[in-house]
Amino acid sequence: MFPTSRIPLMGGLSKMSSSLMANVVHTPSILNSRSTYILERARPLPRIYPRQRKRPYMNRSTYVYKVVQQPYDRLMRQQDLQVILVQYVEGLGKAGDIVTVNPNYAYNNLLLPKLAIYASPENLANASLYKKSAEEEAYSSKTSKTLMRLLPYHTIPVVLNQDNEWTIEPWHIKASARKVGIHVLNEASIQIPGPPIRGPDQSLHGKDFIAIFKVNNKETIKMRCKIFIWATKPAERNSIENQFWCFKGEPVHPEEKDDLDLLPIEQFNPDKIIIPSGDLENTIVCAS
Amino acid sequence: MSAFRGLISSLSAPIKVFSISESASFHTASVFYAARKGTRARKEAKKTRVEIKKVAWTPDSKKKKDIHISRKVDEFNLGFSEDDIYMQKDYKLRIFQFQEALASIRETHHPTMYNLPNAYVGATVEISTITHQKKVKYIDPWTQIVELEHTFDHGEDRSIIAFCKEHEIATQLQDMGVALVGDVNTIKGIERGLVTLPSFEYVVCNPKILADLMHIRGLLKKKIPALKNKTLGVDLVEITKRIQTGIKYSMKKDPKEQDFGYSDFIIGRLNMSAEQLEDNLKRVLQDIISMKPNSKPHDEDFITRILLWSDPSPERFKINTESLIEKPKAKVLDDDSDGEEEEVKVAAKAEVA
Repeated sequence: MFPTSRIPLMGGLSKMSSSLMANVVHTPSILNSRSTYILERARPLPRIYPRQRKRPYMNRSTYVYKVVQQPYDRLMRQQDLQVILVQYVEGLGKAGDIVTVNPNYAYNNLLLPKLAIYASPENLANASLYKKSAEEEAYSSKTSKTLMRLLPYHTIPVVLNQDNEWTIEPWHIKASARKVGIHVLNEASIQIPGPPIRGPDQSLHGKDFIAIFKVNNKETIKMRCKIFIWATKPAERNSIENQFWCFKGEPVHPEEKDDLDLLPIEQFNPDKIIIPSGDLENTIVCAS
Repeated sequence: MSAFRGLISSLSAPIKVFSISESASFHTASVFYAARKGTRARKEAKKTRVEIKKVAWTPDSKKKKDIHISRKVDEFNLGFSEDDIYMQKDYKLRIFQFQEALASIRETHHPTMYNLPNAYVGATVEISTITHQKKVKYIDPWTQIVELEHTFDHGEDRSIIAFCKEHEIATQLQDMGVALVGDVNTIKGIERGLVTLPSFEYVVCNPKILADLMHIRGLLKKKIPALKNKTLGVDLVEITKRIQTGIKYSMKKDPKEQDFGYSDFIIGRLNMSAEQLEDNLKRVLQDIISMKPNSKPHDEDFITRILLWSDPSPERFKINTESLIEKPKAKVLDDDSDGEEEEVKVAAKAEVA
């Protein structure tokens, strides 16, 4: 057997393991548990003179220490891990992207289900092989899948005037969506299917129609729009229902009825009563 | 044996021990003499006794909660979107150029939508009030009226009273629509109760007549003309013009957030051109920047955020400040230029000599 006395014992290693790994230089990285504390004396030791034979007198204050480094300090903590994605991961990136994430998250949610591989030098050299062309890729960006799932739950109230003539155009929907907190940077990406909707027409108040958005010229999202007829004079204005965006209205075009029924809608919350104070904008703020 | 031990100990440690009689003669504490009866009574009268009031018990559900809604926005952990369609709540506030923001206000106020082409356009300016000084840590709130080039109908009540000795200026002021233009005689009349004061918001006067105006100080109260409020000056016509047509803004502060100031004000009407509105906003921003404390470091922003809005739309557009605010030059550069100027002066002096 190897002599055990030469080996410094560290942390949680048992005597048995230390005897087996005798020639290995022990560093904190080999330990299976992070338990290294670095300490410093709070006060200096009493001075020892060159010819002094006696051990200096040590009182209790010599055994007080300050902690310099703990296992949970910033320097000792596990650093974020770099991985290469093999597939599209929602909210993270496309295939072939190099991302840095929390090591525990990477291990459980990316490396074990084989959505990603370690960013070793060999893998990094081959990272470009995983990349797909724009046509092959299912989604245009890392967040577009989330958008497709969540956007249809929102209703866009479109304010249209009672006194002036209008036909609904894409910019009307762009401006109304912006008020609810949905930014559409490209006006050409909005489509309104069906025959043009014209006004002023009081009977259209509260009716629904569909607008189609194209995200990054790739994914199409159908959204419910609700017409709100707005009189310029406050006395003539239509009253506002509590949480009106949670109710399905009649379709403007009867052909769209099936599509509108399939669209999801935000759930009505009976505890949260929002009584609008005469203005539409307060209700819209709550909706966003 | 014991005697020997005692001898050794006495030799090794010669400790001097005081006898009891010796130690008793020292005064170890200051002596308290009884206070005189008069001072005792006076001190007791000074003491304020706190009376404990009995408060009826109320359940927690019925107690009034002071809900503090902060105006501060922290977008530290958010980023900007990659997509061309996105939801605002997940990202940093979208930054608009001034022209772009105004165009989007004009969309919502279009005749086919809100039909308000003549609506007020407002702006919100947020500042950090930290001064980096020891004694005065934060700037106090203030109110100011800024002179404008492109005026508009602001719809506020700003009735003015003016006092001056010159007859020509008095007639000019009356033409401008000042509620009352007074003389030394009118001040005497007001003092006696012969002249009744109309309702007013601002009082303006010349420095010559200020001494006489002090007689009716009690009636004017806080509205008395002062240099600080810019209501006291030689050119009264200019002052009244500024007060009547300028933009009034007041920088406010939440008592719970001393390091943050904000002010909402109106910069014009929607039917004005974009250049005119931008110019009006720039004038106000210049006035706000003039209040910046000198102790603030150059790289720290004084104005933190500018928003543009117009009722009844709920939108607030964050505006790119780079085109509106001129960035101050670094301090090092200034020192260099000063040094150069001095050198030039020295050279000129040498030439003269």
